[in-house]
Formats: sequence, structure tokens, C-alpha cells
Amino acid sequence: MTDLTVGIPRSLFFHAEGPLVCAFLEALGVSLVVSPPTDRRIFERGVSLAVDETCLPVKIHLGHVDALKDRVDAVLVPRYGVLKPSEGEMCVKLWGIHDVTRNVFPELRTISYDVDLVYGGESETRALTRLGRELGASGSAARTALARARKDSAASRSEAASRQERELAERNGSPAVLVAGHTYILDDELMGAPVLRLLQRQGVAVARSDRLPDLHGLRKRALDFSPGLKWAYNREQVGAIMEMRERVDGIVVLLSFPCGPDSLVAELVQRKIRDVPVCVIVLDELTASGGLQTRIESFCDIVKMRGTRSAGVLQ
Amino acid sequence: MSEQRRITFPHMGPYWVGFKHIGVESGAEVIVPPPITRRTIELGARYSPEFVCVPFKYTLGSLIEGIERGANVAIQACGGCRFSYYAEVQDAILRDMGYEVEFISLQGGGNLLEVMMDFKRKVTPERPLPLIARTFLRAFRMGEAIDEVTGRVRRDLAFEAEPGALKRIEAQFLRDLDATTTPRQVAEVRRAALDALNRTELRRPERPLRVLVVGELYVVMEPYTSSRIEDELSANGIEVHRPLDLTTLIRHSIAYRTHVPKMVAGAAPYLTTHIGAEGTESVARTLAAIRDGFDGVVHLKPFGCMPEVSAMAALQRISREHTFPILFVSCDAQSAEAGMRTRVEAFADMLRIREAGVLYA
Repeated sequence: MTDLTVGIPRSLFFHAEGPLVCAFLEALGVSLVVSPPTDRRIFERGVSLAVDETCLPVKIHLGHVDALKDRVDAVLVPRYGVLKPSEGEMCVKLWGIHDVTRNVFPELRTISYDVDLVYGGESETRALTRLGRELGASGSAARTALARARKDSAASRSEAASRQERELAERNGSPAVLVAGHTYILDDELMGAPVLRLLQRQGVAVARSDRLPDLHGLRKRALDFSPGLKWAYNREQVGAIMEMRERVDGIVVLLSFPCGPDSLVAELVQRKIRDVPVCVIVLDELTASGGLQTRIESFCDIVKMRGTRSAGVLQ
Repeated sequence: MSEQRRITFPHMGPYWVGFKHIGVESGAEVIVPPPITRRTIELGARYSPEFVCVPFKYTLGSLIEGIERGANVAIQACGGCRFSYYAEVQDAILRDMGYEVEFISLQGGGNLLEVMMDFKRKVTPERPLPLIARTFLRAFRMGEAIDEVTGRVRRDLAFEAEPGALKRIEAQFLRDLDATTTPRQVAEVRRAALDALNRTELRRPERPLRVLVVGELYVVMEPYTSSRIEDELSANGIEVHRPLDLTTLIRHSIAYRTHVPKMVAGAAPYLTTHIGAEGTESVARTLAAIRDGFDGVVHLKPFGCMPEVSAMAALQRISREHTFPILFVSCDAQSAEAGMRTRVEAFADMLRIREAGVLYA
């Protein structure tokens, strides 16, 4: 097996696909170093390294790579592009993220795997198996480790989904809010976490769009709402909104400036969802916690008032 | 259907001639939207999502201006990246604005053949396919004529002896092209324009400065979006080349299975994979420009354009490693001509100083 120490940036694909990839590499005996949760330093380094107009999650990604670069032999930056038609495709920012990382850090050794069924890549199974072999594992060891890692990550995913479902079911009449957003935003310590904490502090039950049971089903279901929607993560979010709109009292759409897919999808959601209050929160480099708190408080007030009103009607 | 269909489409540079031709030939009335102006982008920006890329705002504004002139059918094409999703959101916006228009989005990922099939399905189902194919082919020939003539004007504009001569020929050519009805006439008009260009007196220095324009498709093809940066370059005595025009783009989109790998290879070692839309092409063309002895590159993109922002990471490194001048221009709803003029002048001065071998350490 390779004696490389591989750095895993806690950014972008790490949040959704990372559990699988890390379990896979660990099973193969690769020693991994995951960067710490995003902090001010990582954030500021990322902002200074990136082209101005890059979206916030990519800037933060570059900060994470910077935090790893002197501690590891190579940094893993996967590329996901066009998936199966039923799944959709990734935002083109993510198509380019490996090359962007290489160009921002020309001296850094990067390793990657390329999941893309149209532009030169391959299926995830083949891509990860190839990565395992490049790191010195035999093909069969890689396949076994991958199958194992798939099973484990699916199990932990479904456990998180059941936990969320249980919390929703046992919420005792308090209003529920669905937060729709990319996992790499919701899971980030500086981007999504403060918003989720503020919501919880308002006493509403919080459901996350990426913690529903069947994300692949949601990717298909989203097409009923928006037939031309091609971005996989956005499909999950829109599918989650369709799935949950009757069960929640409010929807928070959480996105970052200037996210390309979200700029359009959030617009469509606001225009087409009229039966549930929708609050679109755009995070940028300057998001002030005071302003954020006020918006979330007033949104929660609306949600709570609406909850009591409909309860009144029911009585 | 009781009411006569009156079709409109978004403006994009000189290509309205071909778009109009397709509509007319298919038996519909066509409302050509007015050229893009400040009003177009103000309208578009007012009703668009805040940070959507700027071609969305321009094309929405242009469709509104067509509808104001009486159109009841809006046609929008679809391409790569966010462009594939414009139609659905613009449809919802126009509906919310209270316009009762039929919104037709032509699917096909920019592939002309599929776009044509979709046009038949959605616009003129009763017309036989060969007829439509002929119409599209003729429109494509018009596009080729436009690309050849405007490409020549772009290259020579800096050197015309009599100011305004080339743009006059170009304007006359577009008027004549608009009046053609047969492929033979298209060929004649094209020939006449090229002859007129050949007869025009040019004062080209022995070795003029040469600049290549690369970037996102809409802002490179609709001059208003970049405050006519190509004309500004010409005004500074620079020979302007641009590899991307509409017919080239259409050819690439049909042959994307060979074209994209070719571009990825051309962008090595700075890129290893396709980064979306024209991003890979911008990098490959810039590297080719360095090899071909160009003096500089101008990179145009809408603010926040995802593939071109990724390309910039590579282009900045190329510029550094090859000490090669690249002017990065981000187009948004507030572009101002005076600011653009100053930037282009400074860029031209820098190219000239570099050419003269004067280096300030």
C-alpha cells in the first residue's frame, strides 16, 4: 500500500460523498488527514487565494487545501461531472474544481478521481477502484473495500434520515421548518451551521433537505416541479421541498453568493411555492450575524403565527 | 389556433437576420426585437434574479421588448451550463409579469440538429421536415456569411483609411442579407460584401499588434454587453481576432464528442478535464494564441460565470508563467463605456511598451 499521507479538504464533495470515500480509503490502509472545521483563518486564506467572483464554498475549499498543503503528501480533490440522466449533473464549478485547485497551488501534488459519463470520466465504481489501484491496492481489494464502504455509508445515511424523521414526529406541536441547501453549505461550520443553530434556538423543529430517506428518488421527483432541472444537488433540494411542503410550516432556502444553479432554482421556488412561507437566505463573505439573526427570528415569528392560525381553523 | 402566431426571440449581435429568417420561412410572423440598449438591460435586470449571469438579464429584457411590440410567442434556445435552464425560469417570470405569451424553449443542448427537430415539434408540426431542414440550412449559410464578413471587419477595422468605411459595408451587408430569400442570393450578398471589403483601402502597419478575444458565448457575440470592446481595441490600432462565433459554436456542439477532448488536450497542462461550456476552450485558445505570436488576449465573461471563473484560475497562472498579457473583463448590468475605454487604452499602451522592449524593472 502507498505510504502517502493523503489530505482531505473538509469542503464541497467531502460533506456528501466524503463518508464513502474516507471509509473506502481507510479500509485500504491509506492514512488520511482531514482538515479541521472551517474557521476564520481558513475562510480568509480561501478568500485571498480565489478569483473574486468564485462562489463562497469554492473559496472556503481553497482555504482548506491551504490548511492541508504543508502537512500531507497529496490532497484528494475528486471531480464529479455528468451523472446518469436520472441523477442529473453537478454544477460546472465542481467540474472544474480539481483543475482550479491545481492552478491555485501549482506546487501541490493532487490526486483525483473523475466521475463523469459524458466528458472523459467513468462511473463512480470504476473511478474509485482505479483510485484504489493507483494508491497501491489490488483491484479485488479495492472492489471489496468499496462495497463495504458503500454499505456503511448508506447505513449511516439512513440512520441520519430516521433520526430526523423521528425528531419531526416527536416534536409535540412545535412548528417545523425545512432547510433546503447544499450539504457542503449546511455542514459547514461558518456557512450553514450558524443558521441551523439560530433556527433551533427559535424552538422550531429543523428538517434538512439532505436528510430525507431516498435522495435518488428525490432527484427524479424534482422533475415534476421543474422538468429542465439538471443539477443533481438542486434536484435533491427541490425534491425535498415537494416531499415536505405539506408537512412543514416554513421553508428556508440557504444558498451562497454567487451560486449559479441556486440563483435560478431559488427564483423558481419563490415563484412557484405559494402555499408555504419561503425565506431565501444568501450567504456571502460579509454576512453579519446580527442581520442573519433578525431575519431568522422574524421568519420564525411568521411561521409560528401561521401555525397557530391554521390550528385555529382546524378547531 | 385562432390567433396568428407572432414570434420573437432574444437579440444577439448580428444574428437576428438568421433567426428572423427561420421564423418567417416557417410561416409565422416574426417580431424582431430592437437592438440591445440600456433600456433592454434595465428591464431585464429589474425582473431577473439578482445574481443570475448577465446573459439571462439581457435575453429576458430583449424578449420583453419583443413582446411589447406585439409578439405572442417567445422562443429561447438552450445550451450548456445555466443557459439550459434560462427558458424555464424566464417563462415563469413572464407569466408572473402578466404577459400571456406562449413560451417555447428549444432543447438540444446547443446541438443544431436537435434544436431543429424540437423547432418542428413545437413551432411548425404541420410542415414537412425536409422543408424545415432547408430553412435551417439556409439560416446557417446566412450565419456563415455573417461570421465571415464580420470577422474580416473585426480584423481590419483598426486600419481603414477612411473612418467608418468598413462598418458601412457591414451594415449594408446585413440589410441586403435580410432581403434574401434563396441560398443563391445569400451567396451573392456575401460575395458582394467581401468584394467591397477587398476594395477598401487599408493602412496596415507591417507588424500590427494582434489580440485574441476569448470567453463566454453571449458576451463575446453581443457587442453591447462588453461596451463594444472589440471596436475599442480597433480604435487603439489593434488587429482583433476571435475564434468563437455562432456557426463555429454550432459546429462544435454537433461534434462535441471530438471537440471537447481536443480542447482539453489543448489546455494541458493547465487543465486535465472539461470545466464546462466555453471555459476549456478559453484556456486552450489562449495557449494557442501564445504559440501563434499574439500580443495579448482579452477574456470576456459575465459576472460570476461559473466555467469562465474556473478558466480564470488557469489563465492567471498562464499569464504569470508565460509573462503574457491577458485583460480580464467581467460584464454585468452596469458596464460603462468610458470605463471600458480607459481599460482598453491602458492595455494597448502596455502591449506597445512590451512590444518596444521597454521593461520597467
